[in-house]
Amino acid sequence: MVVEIKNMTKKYGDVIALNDVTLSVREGDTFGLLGPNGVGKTTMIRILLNILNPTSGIVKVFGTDVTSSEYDEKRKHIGFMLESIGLSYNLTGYENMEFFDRVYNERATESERKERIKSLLTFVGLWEERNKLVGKYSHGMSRRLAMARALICDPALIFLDEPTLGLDPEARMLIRELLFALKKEKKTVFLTSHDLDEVQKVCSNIAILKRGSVVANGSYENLKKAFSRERVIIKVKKVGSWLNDLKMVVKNLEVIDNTLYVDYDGDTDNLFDLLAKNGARVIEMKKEETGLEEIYLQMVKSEPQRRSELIGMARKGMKR
Amino acid sequence: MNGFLWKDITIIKRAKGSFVLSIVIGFVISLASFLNSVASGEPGFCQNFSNLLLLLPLIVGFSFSQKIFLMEIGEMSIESALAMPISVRNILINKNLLVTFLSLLLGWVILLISMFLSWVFMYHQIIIPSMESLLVLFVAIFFIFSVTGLVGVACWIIPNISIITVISMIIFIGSVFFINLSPFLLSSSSHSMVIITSILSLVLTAIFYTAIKKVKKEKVALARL
Repeated sequence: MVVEIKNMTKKYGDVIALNDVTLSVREGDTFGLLGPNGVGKTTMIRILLNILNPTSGIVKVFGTDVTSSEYDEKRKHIGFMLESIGLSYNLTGYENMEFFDRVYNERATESERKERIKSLLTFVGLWEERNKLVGKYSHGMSRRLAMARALICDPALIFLDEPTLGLDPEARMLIRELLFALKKEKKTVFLTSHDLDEVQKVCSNIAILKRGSVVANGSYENLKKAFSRERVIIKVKKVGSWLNDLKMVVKNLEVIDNTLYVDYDGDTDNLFDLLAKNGARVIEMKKEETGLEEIYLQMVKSEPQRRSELIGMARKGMKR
Repeated sequence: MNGFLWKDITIIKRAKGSFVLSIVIGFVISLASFLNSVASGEPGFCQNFSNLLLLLPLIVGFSFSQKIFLMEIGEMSIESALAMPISVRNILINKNLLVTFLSLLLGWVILLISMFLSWVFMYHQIIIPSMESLLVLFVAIFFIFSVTGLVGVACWIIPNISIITVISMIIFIGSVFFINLSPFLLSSSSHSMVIITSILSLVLTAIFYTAIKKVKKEKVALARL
């Protein structure tokens, strides 16, 4: 396992940010961590990067405890792109890359350095813009540069915190292509995101956080099996008294105008027969595929105002 | 070259404002002091010279320490600095060594040019610094290191930017007052200035090292992120 988290809890004072979290990421996996704002995703990445320490539990990356001094050596092979881009606005794109290259590849020769930076900036499509100050980059360009920066140490593991946050569709597509490229190169990626479509397409394993705890974990297919509801959408000419008979055989029934949303595990033909037998005039009937978005919403719904709580936690922690 | 050092130097090369400000203030102070010392005679000059050895690097150092220590905080790049495999202690010491070196270099260059200008344009008086002044020259290294270091630590671990500014100003103004008043408080000699400055530098350096020993990434993260 590249990342192993066992019964990890993080508290800010008395407030629990992450509660008894257990999860693991295998080598070559693209792992997606989902959850509403302020649920603890960024805290988890900060713990994995040893910016914050866990209050209890075990957190290992490449088999090394993240709080140990040996982890510094391992971190030389870990790339990251955090929510705050982490670039110097007073340096050009090239200079930003050179700074990080000097930190991670101290002994590299000037020609090696130039070659590496050129290939990475070309990879993210910023070679032509390399001499521009980052302060003058667009948000999308800064994100791409941050992605190139994350790859400067030729990482075996990359942490990406909301990589597509605030990007326009074109820039999002480009980051997604970069993620696919990393997947192809068998890099282990640990990403947090709000973009459910992106996670569904890119990630081989997904975990969902709710109030600091993991409420679902597994591949998309497994999550679908475990949490999906077979939903049938039926358009009828008019809703009648047969609705009561229908309620007897389905798990959940919702009626909006003349459309019925039905949770039903059985064969739709049987459902059709039942409706026809009771005199319902069915215009259209279709089975709905459960997407990650529905599973996610099902998992995290009724999430309270966690973000304001976390801001409070951080302030309390600071005073201690 | 160390990555952080390279970054700081690259940024400083662009910080023309800090350079110009330091040079202008430095020249004004040193020329005013020389005019005053030449008017009051040789012993007064030696005292002024010792004060300037400390004062000019301090002004330059204050200007650069604001730039270098506040850089990551202002640019919100502190999170990535913390995520890198390098300790906060090393980053702060590296930055402080750079600020100290630049301050002394530029401060003393301003002083030498001022001396030359005062010699050419004023009384053609040959200036021979006293032995105490040479001692102050060495003590200055520790003094500037400790003062700028404390300003730097304040920048990284105090969450509120207004409080940082107030603390930095207190440290700076306190240091300037100390330089100007310390010799007169005891025996009005440069010799006493060397002793007092050495003791103060030792105390401030001890505070600086104790502070950075206690600085943990988590503490900076909670203060800054």
